[in-house]
Amino acid sequence: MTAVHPAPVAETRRWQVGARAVFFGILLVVFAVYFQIALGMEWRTAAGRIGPGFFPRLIGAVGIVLTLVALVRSVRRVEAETETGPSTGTGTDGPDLGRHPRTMAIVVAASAALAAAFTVLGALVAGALFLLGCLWLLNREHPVLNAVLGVGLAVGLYLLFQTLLNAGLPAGVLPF
Amino acid sequence: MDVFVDLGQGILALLTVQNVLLLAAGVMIGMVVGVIPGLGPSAGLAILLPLTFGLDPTGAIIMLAAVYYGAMYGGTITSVLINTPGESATVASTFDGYPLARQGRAGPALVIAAVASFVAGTVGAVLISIAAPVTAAVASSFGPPELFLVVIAGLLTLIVVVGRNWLLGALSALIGFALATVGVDIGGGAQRYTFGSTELINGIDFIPVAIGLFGIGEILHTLWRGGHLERLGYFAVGAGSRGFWPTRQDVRESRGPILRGSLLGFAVGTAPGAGATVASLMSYTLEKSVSRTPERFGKGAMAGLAGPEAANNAASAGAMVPLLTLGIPGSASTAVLIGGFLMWGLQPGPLLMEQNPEFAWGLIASMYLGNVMLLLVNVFCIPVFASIARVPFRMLAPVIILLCVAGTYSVNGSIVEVAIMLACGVLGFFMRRYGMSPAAMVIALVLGPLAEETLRQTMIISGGDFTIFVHRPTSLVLLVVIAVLVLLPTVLPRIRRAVTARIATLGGRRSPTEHEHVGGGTPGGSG
Repeated sequence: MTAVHPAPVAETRRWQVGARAVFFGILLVVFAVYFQIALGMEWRTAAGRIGPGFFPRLIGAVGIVLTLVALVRSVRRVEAETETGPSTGTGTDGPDLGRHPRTMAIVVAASAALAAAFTVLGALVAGALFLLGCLWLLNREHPVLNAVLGVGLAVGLYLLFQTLLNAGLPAGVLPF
Repeated sequence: MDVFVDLGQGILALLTVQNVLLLAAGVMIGMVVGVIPGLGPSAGLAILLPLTFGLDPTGAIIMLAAVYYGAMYGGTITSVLINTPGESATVASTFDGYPLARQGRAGPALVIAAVASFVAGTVGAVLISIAAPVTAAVASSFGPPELFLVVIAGLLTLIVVVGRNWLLGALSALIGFALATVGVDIGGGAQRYTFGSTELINGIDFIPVAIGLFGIGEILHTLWRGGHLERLGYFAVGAGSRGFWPTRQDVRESRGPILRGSLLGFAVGTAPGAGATVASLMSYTLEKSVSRTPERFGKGAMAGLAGPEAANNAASAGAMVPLLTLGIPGSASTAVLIGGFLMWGLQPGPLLMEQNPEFAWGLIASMYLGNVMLLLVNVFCIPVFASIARVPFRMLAPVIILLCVAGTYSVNGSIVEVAIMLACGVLGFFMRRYGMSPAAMVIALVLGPLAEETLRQTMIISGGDFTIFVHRPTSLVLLVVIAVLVLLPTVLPRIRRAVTARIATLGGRRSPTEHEHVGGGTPGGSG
């Protein structure tokens, strides 16, 4: 759980602009591929009506232009927000506790593993393992509580969906 | 008076034991979700939508309306007690709510907020009863060209008025539109962007996207900013203590703001795209400007809490008007609701009130009953829900993620949708991180097929001639509205600068040390 604390201003600016530019760069590639595929679809049908490619071409073209503008802006100038912290869009953030990309990445990886194991191991086992792993990562001071919560909440959620809501979660390795 | 008879019948029809229990459960679950910092009504609705699948449509919508109001009020509890609003719509509640809690007046603040929500919800339900049939009657004369322009105008309002940055807002909406084109083309039956996958033939379902963007995205963002390490400064609140109930002066000070906030909030909420956030901030500014003691604002003025609370609830009710009559969601939360409607085979729009009156009036009635239930639950259970805010985020985060995964899987039993949900969660994190608008994306995803279908129909009517938009009077008016919205980004900064300068001048005259909350700009997102 290493925290990336706010670095000196010049360094922070360089890092944030880089990450922002990479994000818009990826978005640009996505829109470009989307537009490329749209070009293979009909703009108008033989009857002169709007074809399946009409909307995708419009969306792709405008998307490419707007993403390019956003990309150029993110490379050329440092947004004012880098000095006060990143924009969240809602203004609902709490106190500054540093940045924790590693913790977040581990939770994303664990969530992906949960999705991969969900049908193989079953909702109950995969859910319990996920909860135990994440609670161990985020709440290390209370291992016993983590174990109780990990198993108890997984069983509780399983019963809620399976019994109460009749949702049909995968049983996996368990016989029920 | 027919509308009130319809409303009364709607309320009576809903008063069964099962429905009352669903209302109570919805309000309580909504409040539990709402008090979790970072999660607001849109996330609450998205995460809990799968839980309503076992119910009939009426029961499901009753529960969702209750969740909506419960989550909204849950955000107020955290705003007052820990200075952390659940989402942008309750940001204004922190301005005076938290200072009141610091003065040991958390109880009166929460009770007044509950009463304000109740009054606003009641006023909102009455106003919907009047406005919805009228709007539906006007909207029923709309043809495809007008509907297409209404969709565009709604999105533009969201992007221009609510968002901080129109470029990023427009980009967010385009991502939503792009996702909406996945699947079979409704016009000719051709497959688009399915890459041979049978799972994608029916398109990308709205629910995994909403759960990912609002649920997982918020959790990831909170983890990234260290929410799991937070030690919250918490103000206790006990119903038994003498100071729990508001004084007569509190009630006197709140009456006017609640009424003004209710009317203002409803009016703002009815504009597609504008929402509870704008309404609550406008109400705060209004109350401060009409107050005889504006220097108390930001330091614990009851009027500064009551007005915005009423406004955000009334705006939530107002947002139902474009939702029910035009099929245009005015906010992220109503976009999730529209997803629910579509799932139950109900198409919101001008014909909904005509073809499914029992459903439309049932929804309006359930909103009213949700408010009654909210008031009852609130007054007696504030301390219980306040204690949930004490549960640390580090323990809640994994549980919410598991709930999102299980909920998404339970919709269609598809692991591909779970993967889409997680991918949208990561996308939602980056969108939030770089100032984009997940709300605009979700609304565009919902409206994309409608926009495409109405434009297609328009072109069929006109024989491919785009001048049809200027030849029809109503669509010409809508085009003018769109033109104004497009011009706003260039005009708005100048107006803002002028208003800020004016406020600064007035503030300087009144109190040099006073905090200025509203001048910092309007937060994005929406209620």
